Amino acid sequence: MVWSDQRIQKLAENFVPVADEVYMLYPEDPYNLERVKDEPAHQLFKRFGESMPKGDWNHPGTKQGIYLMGPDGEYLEGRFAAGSDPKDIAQRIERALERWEKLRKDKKYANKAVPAVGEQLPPDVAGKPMVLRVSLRDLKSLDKPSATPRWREGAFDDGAWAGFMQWAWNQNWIAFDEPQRWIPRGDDEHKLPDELVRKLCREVLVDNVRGQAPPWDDEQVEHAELRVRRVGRGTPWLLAYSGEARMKHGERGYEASLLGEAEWDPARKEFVRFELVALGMRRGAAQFNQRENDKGPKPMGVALRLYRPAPKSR
Amino acid sequence: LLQPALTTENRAEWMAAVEPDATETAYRAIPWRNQFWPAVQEARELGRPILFWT
Repeated sequence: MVWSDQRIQKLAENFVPVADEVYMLYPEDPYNLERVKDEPAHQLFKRFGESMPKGDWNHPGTKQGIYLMGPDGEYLEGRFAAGSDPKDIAQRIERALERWEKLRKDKKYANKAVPAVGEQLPPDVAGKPMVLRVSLRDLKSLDKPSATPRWREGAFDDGAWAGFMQWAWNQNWIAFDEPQRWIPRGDDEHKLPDELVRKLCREVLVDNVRGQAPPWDDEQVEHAELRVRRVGRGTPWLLAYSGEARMKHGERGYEASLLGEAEWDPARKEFVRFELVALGMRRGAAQFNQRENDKGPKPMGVALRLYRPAPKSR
Repeated sequence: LLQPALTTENRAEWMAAVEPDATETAYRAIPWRNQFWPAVQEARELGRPILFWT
């Protein structure tokens, strides 16, 4: 993968690196384009794109890609739909840096060091008291964890969609405002509040391994139950979770078993560890989740882990 | 198709099987900002160029 390439990681240190969704920055449909046309972010990106060489900017059409620009959107390099060839991207970044050297002298840009930042969370979960990182992927089987296909350099054709489909995985996030609602009220196992479990099912037990898929509507959650019990009497509390979920809409569905383990600090009223895994069969296709030729039923796993900020590495 | 029970014995193994490993998450070594416009403003303050993946 391009961003795993150490040469590219080194070159990237010269830039403010940003990843973001393109559609609302430069919508392809007239309604949304009209809505954002006066926004400074859209105007800067549009101005940048229109200064690119023919063929590197895609208009009309998707603006997905990798772009290198000065602080005011000055063209340095880039290409739409770029991203699978590390050699090409490294060469583009090097050309961008050559152009940057001239630009920064001409415009007297300060060129201060880019500060370290920790991993940035999506705005809708950042700062919440219980944030879970969600990882999901296709599985080869439901009886052999070690059979899970993983990306390795040279193992797949990284330039082909078929290569990506063999190892695809995705990451999402979910947050909860009241962590204490996830702990048991007494010594016996009991069901967690329905609304918590249904929120989890609606938002993240969704097949977006390969592409975008909408959350489930509440009425499409046919069954959602998660039970919790305390294991032993130690501190922090050791908690065990188990449950089942079934979502269905037309031919599209996901039916899974869930099992989890967590540690709760009763003094600080917060989780110090939370892990939950769902395994089951996905079926059907959403409009944009790239399943039209692979409707299953096939196995898919979803793992949720408490987010803990990592130490800064740069 | 409907599968052995997900058990307390194999839960951690399945968790690891579903989550990406260090090789798959090496892209996180780049300190990605996750919103375009705040990153543009940061680049202006620093006088630095922008690498934008979208």
